[in-house]
Amino acid sequence: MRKIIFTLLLLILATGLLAQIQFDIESFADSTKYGWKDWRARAVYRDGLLDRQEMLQLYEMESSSIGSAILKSALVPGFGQITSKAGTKGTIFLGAELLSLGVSLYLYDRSNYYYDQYLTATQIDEIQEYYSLAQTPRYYSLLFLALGVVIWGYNIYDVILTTDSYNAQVWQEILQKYAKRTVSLGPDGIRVRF
Amino acid sequence: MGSGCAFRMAPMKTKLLLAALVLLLTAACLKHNNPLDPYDNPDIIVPDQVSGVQCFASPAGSANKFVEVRWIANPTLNTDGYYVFRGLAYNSDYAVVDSVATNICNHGAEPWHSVLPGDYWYKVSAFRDVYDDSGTYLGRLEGRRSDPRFIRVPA
Repeated sequence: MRKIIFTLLLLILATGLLAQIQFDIESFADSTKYGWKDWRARAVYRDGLLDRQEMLQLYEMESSSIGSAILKSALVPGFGQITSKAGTKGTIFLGAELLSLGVSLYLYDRSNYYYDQYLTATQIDEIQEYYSLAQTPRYYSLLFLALGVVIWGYNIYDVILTTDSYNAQVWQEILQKYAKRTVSLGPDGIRVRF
Repeated sequence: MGSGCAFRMAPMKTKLLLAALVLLLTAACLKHNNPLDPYDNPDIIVPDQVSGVQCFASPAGSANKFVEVRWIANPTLNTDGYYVFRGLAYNSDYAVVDSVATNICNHGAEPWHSVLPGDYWYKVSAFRDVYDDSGTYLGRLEGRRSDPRFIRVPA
C-alpha cells in the first residue's frame, strides 16, 4: 500500500516538474497571439481597459439602482424619481398621490358622517336624504382612491423609465468628461492624452 | 341589443375599464341598515303626508292664548298618531310642540304649552310605530311633514 502511494506521489511530482520545464515564458508573453501587434499596443489596450474600469466605477457610484428606485417609489410615490434627479416629476407624483388620497379620505369621512345620521334618522325624508348624502361622497371617495391607485401604478412604471434615462445620462456625461480630458491624474502619475 | 353589440365590439381595454368602474361603483353601495328604512323592506308602511292643515287662534284679549290645529285624518292602517310642529318663520327650524292620537291639537291647553301673542307657522306629520315579524319594537317612523300654515295670535 505504501509503495503505491509513494509511486503516485512520485508520478505527480514528476508531472509537475515536466510541466515547469515545458512552460515557455516567451510564448506566454507573446502579445501578438492575443491580437496585439506588439507590447506598445498591449499597453495602450491596458490603459483603455483601466480607463473603462474607472468609468464603470464612477457609473456605479453615480447611477441609481432600478430595484431600489422602484422600492422607494412604491413606498413614497415620486421618491424614486426625486433620487434619480427628476425632482419636478417626483414632486408632481407625490402631490397628485397625496391630493387624491386626501380627497378620498375627506369624502369617506363625510360619507361616514352622513351614514351615521342616516342610521339614527326616524323621519322618512331624513332617512332618504341622509342616505343620498352618504352615498354620493362614498362613490367619489372610491373614485379618488382608484385614481390614487392608478397614479401609484403609473409612478412605478415611470420610475423605471426615469431611472433608465438618468443612468443613460450619467453614462453619457462620464463618457464626455473622459473623452475631453487630455490630462489626468492617476495613481501612476500624470498622464497626457493626445 | 344595440348596446350589447356595441359592448361586444368595444376594445378589450375599454371593456376592462368599464368592468372595473362598475365593480367599483357596486362596491361603493352603502347598505340600507336603518331598521325604519322602507327601501327593500315592504313590511314597513310609511305614514301618509298630512294634508288640510288649518289653524285657529284664540280671540284678542283672551287670558289663555292658544292655537287650535286641525287636519284631515290619515287611515289608521298607516298612522298611529301625529306630531305638531311650530316655527317662527316659513323656512325656520320647527320644534315639536305636541304629539296627539287624533286629528286635532289644542296648542295652549296643556300646562307645558307656551303660546304668546305673535306670528307662528305650524306643520303636522303622522307617525307609525314599527315592529318586526317577531314583535320587537324597531322605532317610530315619521312620515312627510305638511306644508307650513301661518297663524297670528293676537294680544
